[in-house]
Amino acid sequence: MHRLRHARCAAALRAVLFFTAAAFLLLSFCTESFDAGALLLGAIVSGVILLSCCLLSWLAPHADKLLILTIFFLCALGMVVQYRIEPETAARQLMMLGIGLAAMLLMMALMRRPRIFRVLSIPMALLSLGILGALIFVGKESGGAKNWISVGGILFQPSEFVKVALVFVLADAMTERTHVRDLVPLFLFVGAVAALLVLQRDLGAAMLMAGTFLMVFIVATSNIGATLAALLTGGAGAYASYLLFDHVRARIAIWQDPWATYSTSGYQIAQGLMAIASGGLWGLGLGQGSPKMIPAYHTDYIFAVICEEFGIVFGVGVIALYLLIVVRGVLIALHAEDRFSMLAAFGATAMLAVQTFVIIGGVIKLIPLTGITMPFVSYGGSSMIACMLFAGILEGVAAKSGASLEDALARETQPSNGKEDGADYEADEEERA
Amino acid sequence: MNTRRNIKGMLAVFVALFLLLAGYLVYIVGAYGAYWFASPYNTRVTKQKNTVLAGTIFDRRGLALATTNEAGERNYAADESMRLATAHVIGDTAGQTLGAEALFAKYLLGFDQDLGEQLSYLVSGKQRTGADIMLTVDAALSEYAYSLLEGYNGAILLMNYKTGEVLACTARPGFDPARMKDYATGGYTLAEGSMVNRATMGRYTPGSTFKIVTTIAALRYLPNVQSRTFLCSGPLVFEKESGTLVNDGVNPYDETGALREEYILLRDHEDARHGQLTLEEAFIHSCNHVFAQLALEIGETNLRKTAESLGFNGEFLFDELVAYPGTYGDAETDFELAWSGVGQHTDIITPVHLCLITCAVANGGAAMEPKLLKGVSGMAGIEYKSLAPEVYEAFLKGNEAEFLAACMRGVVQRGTGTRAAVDGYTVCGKTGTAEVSSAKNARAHAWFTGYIDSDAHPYAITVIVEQAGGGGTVAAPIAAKVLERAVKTKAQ
Repeated sequence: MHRLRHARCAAALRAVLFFTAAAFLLLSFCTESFDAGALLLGAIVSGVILLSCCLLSWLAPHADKLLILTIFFLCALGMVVQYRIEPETAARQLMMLGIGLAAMLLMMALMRRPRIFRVLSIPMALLSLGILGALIFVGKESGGAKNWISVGGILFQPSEFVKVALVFVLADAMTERTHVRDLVPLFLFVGAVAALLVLQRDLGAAMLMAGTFLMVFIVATSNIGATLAALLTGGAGAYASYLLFDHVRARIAIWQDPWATYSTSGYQIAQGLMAIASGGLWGLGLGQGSPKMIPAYHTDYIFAVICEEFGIVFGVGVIALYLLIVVRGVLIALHAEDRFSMLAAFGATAMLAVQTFVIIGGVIKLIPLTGITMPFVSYGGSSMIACMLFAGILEGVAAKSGASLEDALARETQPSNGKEDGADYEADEEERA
Repeated sequence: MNTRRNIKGMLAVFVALFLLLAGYLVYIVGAYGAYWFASPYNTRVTKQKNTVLAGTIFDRRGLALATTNEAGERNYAADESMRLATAHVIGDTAGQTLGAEALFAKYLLGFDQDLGEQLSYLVSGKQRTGADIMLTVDAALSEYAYSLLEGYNGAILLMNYKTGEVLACTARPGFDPARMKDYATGGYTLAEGSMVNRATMGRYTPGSTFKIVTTIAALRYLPNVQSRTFLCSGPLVFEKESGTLVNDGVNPYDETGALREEYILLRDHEDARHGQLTLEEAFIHSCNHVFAQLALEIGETNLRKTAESLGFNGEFLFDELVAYPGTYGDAETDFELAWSGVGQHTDIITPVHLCLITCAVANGGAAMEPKLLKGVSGMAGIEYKSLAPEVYEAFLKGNEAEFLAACMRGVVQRGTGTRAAVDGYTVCGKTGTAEVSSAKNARAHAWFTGYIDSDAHPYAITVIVEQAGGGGTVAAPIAAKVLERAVKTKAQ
């Protein structure tokens, strides 16, 4: 069993490295003169991936390798596309990837002692509210949303870190308490976060947080009635904002027919759709498209760029990889050692899933567009670090439960050899529950 | 704890969401991708012309309609009238008209060339050229059809109803693609509306051609309607205010013989009184009285349902032709409903939509998807990928198509469309005279839609001549001429 998983991951690692090498090799020939920078970057990215894999299997032999390789593939894809559009942003993205990896390892280490986050839950909640509240006064506007903050000349997007905090706050609040009566403070917190985000016109983040909250809530409490009530309230709120706010109405109108307002508000969606359509099934080829036609090409709209140059088949493949991340995340949550870890792992998975769905769905006109980043691929330091922190939560939970599973196995195998590891594990789980 | 079970349930939700995402991506690009790509806003197409020479567009007989010289300039057919007649099908190079230049830019500009092909250009150092394409249209036939519209605006569409091939498609006024480059400098003025392909996008009042739809609705919703007889006793009388049908026996005229103020009438052509009629005879003589009564009996809901089953109020998503469908609007009163049943009120149809319905009648109920692309040259330049006919939608049941075919045969044999007859062939059709203005001297739009009932010459035709008079007197003879020419030159 273990050997099988190991072999599969070796193949996956080779595939990731092959993709990275091939793509950067192609990029080095794309320009008029041979571009050594592309090869250098390709070598660095491959090196970072290889090194991280070695480091990870040395530090945490029970980490989910398929999960991390899928994430690395998406990161590599992001680097390739960033470099293809603007080599300078790719260099910055590489730095962010490095910081992100460090953040992931740190998070994995911290997740060995989940108590830390349980203690920190309330300070994190208060800090989140404080930052989001402060943003209204000191925030910098970008892309219609006032959600940036400048610290020492470096721009941050605090809502990205609030996402991480929210996952822990949710997990902590619902570890012991599952009755609606006991969760009122949590509701107030989530409501305040969503309201503050809406005030900053960061509708995407508000939707993301609310969606994740609902998913963790229903999973933790099985309270369908309250979830439906929350959904109805959310739906009513959405409808009210549709009636009240012009910018919400405009956004719906753009979604229904971006071509009608092509020269103004529909421009971005229409450009994205044209890019996707131009790519066709197999894409125009790396370096052959015109990605800079689309506003937000290296952040929110990177999926359109990927579809244009790599094709729809590849785009569906990318969606499938995100699904793989989600499936692995759910499996990790199911096998978590304690309830807090389980909820944290599920929260991280749900956050990544909703974020992916909202942004890809927006780009392909399935749902109204709200500006958020595509996990692991989009350019953006805060987003990359936040996503890597989620990866760290998942890998930390996986590593811990895997390690204790091995301990349990080692103890069990002496008296009885016949049992299968899976059955053992289940029994172990039941006992603890 | 149920939490584990709930997480498993949530996994199903995630899987469903991601499947929806992937499925929608594939669906939406499959359905609309070609149009988005062909959009005049898509600068990738114009940009590609800097590096790739566009391929040649041939008509079905191999006549070059648009070629590119070595300097990258687009050249068109030498004959001006041929350029005008095929202008909308070819389209302009700026992508303002959604013709072949835009829709098939994928092939013409080599967007579909794979890496191997691109590399071979790179290695050999040859100028990169897009593929040549062959259209289904017969340029000479289009030119002839265009000449028949002389003096009027209008459109003619000729299709092969067995394969869906568009054999001729012309809209007057056309524009001259060869002179479009002078347009910006004022050296060339366009006739009003000449950039619109009236055959595929012209939205017209259908007039009596809509009786095809009403007949189908009658067959579907009125049992035994084929064996009933109807009485056409002259104009139908409605109350002006409420639009309600007034029962027989009321005299709407005053002593002087003038119509009383409180009434309005639904008349027949030249106030004809057809007397006792079957449905088939009413169709053959295009009796407004009977069809208005049928519409009232069928009801608005069922009439709309029938129209929508035939493509009205929907969206045509053809792979090779940008076309609009007709619309059937609301009819609030008896008066409006009655008029909507005879193709007036707010009814709208496009020539291509009418032609498609006609094709369905001719083809036993199945409308073939209109095809414009006969082939694309391969790398070697000789091999043509051949066209693959496909059913767009089975609009009619076999017995419905059969009954309508009999009705339409009667129209040309002894009804309103006798002038559409072609010697030696059975032509079936329906005329229409669409009232578009209440002004005294205004002339109606003349319609004819029909087909040749022949396996060797499966042609369906739709003709609209704007403000030209009666369908039977103006449009039907034009249809006959085009069909005759098509048969003679065997445009198959």
